[in-house]
Amino acid sequence: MNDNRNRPVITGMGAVTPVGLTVSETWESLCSGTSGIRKITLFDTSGLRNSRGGEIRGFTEDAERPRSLQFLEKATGEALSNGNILENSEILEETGFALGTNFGCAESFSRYYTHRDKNPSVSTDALHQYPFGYYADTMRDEFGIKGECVAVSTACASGLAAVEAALQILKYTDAESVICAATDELTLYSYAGLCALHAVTKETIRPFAESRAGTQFSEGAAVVLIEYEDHARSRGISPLARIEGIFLNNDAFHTTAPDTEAAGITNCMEQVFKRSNVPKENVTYVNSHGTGTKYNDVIETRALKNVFGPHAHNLYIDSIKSMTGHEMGAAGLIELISTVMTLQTGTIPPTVNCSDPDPECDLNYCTDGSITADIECALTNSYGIGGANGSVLLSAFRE
Amino acid sequence: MEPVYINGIGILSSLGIGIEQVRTAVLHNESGIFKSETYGTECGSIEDLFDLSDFTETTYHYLDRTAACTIACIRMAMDDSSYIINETNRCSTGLVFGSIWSCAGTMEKFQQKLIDSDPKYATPFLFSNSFPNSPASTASIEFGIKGYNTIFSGCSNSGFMAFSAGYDAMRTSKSDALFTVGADAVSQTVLDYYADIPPNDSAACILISNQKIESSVEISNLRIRSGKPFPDDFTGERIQVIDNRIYLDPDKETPRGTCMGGAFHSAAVCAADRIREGITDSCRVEFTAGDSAGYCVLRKA
Repeated sequence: MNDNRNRPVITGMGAVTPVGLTVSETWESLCSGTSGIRKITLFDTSGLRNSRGGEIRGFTEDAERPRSLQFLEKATGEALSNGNILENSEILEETGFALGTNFGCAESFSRYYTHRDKNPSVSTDALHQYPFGYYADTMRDEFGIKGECVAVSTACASGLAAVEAALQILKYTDAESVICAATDELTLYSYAGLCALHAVTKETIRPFAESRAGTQFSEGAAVVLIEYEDHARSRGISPLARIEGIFLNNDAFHTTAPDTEAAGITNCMEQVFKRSNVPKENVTYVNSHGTGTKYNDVIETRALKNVFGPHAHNLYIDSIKSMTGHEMGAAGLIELISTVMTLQTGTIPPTVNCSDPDPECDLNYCTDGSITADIECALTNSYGIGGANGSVLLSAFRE
Repeated sequence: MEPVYINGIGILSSLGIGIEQVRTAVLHNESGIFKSETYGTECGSIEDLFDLSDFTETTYHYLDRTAACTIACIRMAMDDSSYIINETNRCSTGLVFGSIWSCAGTMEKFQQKLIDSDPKYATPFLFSNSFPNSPASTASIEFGIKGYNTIFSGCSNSGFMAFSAGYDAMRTSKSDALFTVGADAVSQTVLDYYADIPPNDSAACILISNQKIESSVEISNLRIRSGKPFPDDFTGERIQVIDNRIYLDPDKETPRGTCMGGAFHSAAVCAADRIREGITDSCRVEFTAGDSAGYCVLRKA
C-alpha cells in the first residue's frame, strides 16, 4: 500500500451502448441527439408498460454466453487498447478489476430456475454464470488480470460504486491500475419487475419535461482504466481526466421512492466537495441522473440548488438517458465516460425530448441541441433503488 | 490516518443467535448443520430458530431472510456498543454490506411468479426485495443510517472486501462510525450451487469507529494480498477463512460448511470476542478464496 502515489486519473475508456458500440460511436450519437430507443426483440413485451427500450443492436454475439458479459469484454478490449495496456502482460498482472452491476447475468439465473422448475436435476451450468464473480473469473482468464477483483451492486448507482471500489483496490493492494467496469443487460426478469414498479413510461423518456411519465430501460457496458497520475506518466500516457472526488451514501428513506426533500443526494454531493480541493464555482457542467420519472428530475433539480445555490443557474446540465435510455447498473459509468468526453472536447450533449420544460425544473438542461463550452470541472450523479446515491467529481487533464 | 476500533459485534448463524450462543457452540464443537424441513437436505438454515421481532418493532409484510439477518446483526452490534443513531450522527454513520448471494431466495420467488403467471402481473414488492443492495437498503431505512454506503456482492471475496471498504472509509474519515456486515442465507439456488458443501445462514456485523471505548478492539492492520502469500512474521492467534469456510484453529479440521458472504465477518466477530474475553491479546483473521486473499490483525485496544 502506498497512499502517496499522486492522484487517480482515467487513462482508457470503452463503451457499448444503445447509441454506439464504441466510445467514439456513442459520443457522436450523443452529440447529434440520436436516440437508441427501439422495439425490444430480446423477449416478449406483450402486456408490459412499454415495448421499447435501449436494446443493443449490431452486436455479434454468442448465444450461449450472457450478453452483459459480452458487452463487458468488448468495452474492456477498447479501454485497454486506448489505455495502451492490451496484451501487456506485465501491466495486466498488476491490474485489478472492479465491476458494478445491478442485475448481472440475471438471464442465466432465470434460465436455470425455469429449467429447474421443470426438471430439478437440470445441469447447474447456467447457474454458475449468475454470481457476479463469474465476470471476474472470465476477465482474469481472457485478459490476464492478476490483481484483486471485486463486484459491487448499488442498483442504478452501481457504475459509480465501481469507481470507489477501484480506488480502494489502487490504495490497498499492489495493483498499479484497475479496470473499472459496469454492465447490465435487458432481460424479461428485470424489465417485468421495473414495469411492475411503474418506473417505466408508457410512451417516451422525457427528462425534465413537464409531460415526463417515467424512464425507458436499456442495456450496455462501460469500462474505464484508472491509475495514479505518476504511473500513467511513467509509461508515457497522457491521462484523459482526473478523479477529484467521490462519495456514496443512502437516503435511508424508502425502498423504492426517493427522498422528496433531496437530503440524501444533496449530502452525497456536499461530501464530494468536502473531500476535494475543488471550489463549487469551478464546476460548470453536471451530467445528471435525469431518468425522466416524475420524482427524480424535480428532486435532482432541488438538490443541485441546495448544493450550488445561485451558481446552480450557471450550470450546464444534461441527461444523456434521454437518448441512451437507462442502462441500469451500467448507466453511471457510461455517463462518467460521457462526462470525460465533455471535459476533453468542450461539447455538452443535449437533453432530447424536452419540448415542454417543467417549471419546477428551472435550470439549464441543454434542451436545444449540443453546446460548446470550456469545462474545467464536472460532476456526474447516479441514484438507485433502495436509496443508493453516488457522485463523482472530475476535472479536465491539462498539462 | 485515524485508528479504527471495533466497538460492537453481532452474529447469527446456525451455531446460535448472538455471540454467547455461538461461543458456546464453538466451545462444544457443535456442527450447526442439520436436516432442513424446508429444503429436505443437510444445511445450516436458521429460519425456524430466528424471530425478527426480537430485533425490531417494524412489521414487514415481506422480508428476504438475508435482509432479516442483516437487520438482526446490526441491532446486536448497536446494543453491544450502546451506539445510538440520532439526527446528529446519522449522516456520518455508514453501512458497508458484503454478500455473495444476497436476496437469491427472493429472486427465486419472483422468478417463480414469472413462470406461474403472465409477466405483466409481476410482483413489485418481491422484485424490489430481490436487489443485491436490498438488505443494506432495508437496514439503512430501519435504523436511519444515511452516511457512507456501498455493497459488495456476487464475488467470493464480497465479505472480506466489504470489511476492507469499511476500514478504508473510517481511515479516510468518510464516516465517524460504520456498520460493516457480511451476510448470506440458504436458498434452493444456493444449495444447488454448492452441491457438496452444506451452506449456512450466516450474518455478522462489526461496528467500527475512530472513537475508543472500554470494550474496543483495535484493527491494527489490514492487507489485501491478491493471491500472494501471507507474511509469516505474525506470532499471535490466527483464524482462517478459506473459501468462506471458517477454520477457528488452523491446526484442526473445523469447517462446518460454507458461511458464504458472512464468513469473514463471522470469523472477525469470533476473533474480537476472544480478545474481549481475554483469551488472546491479538488475532489475525486470514481470508483466501481463489486468487483473492487478505487479512486483518485485531489487537486489544
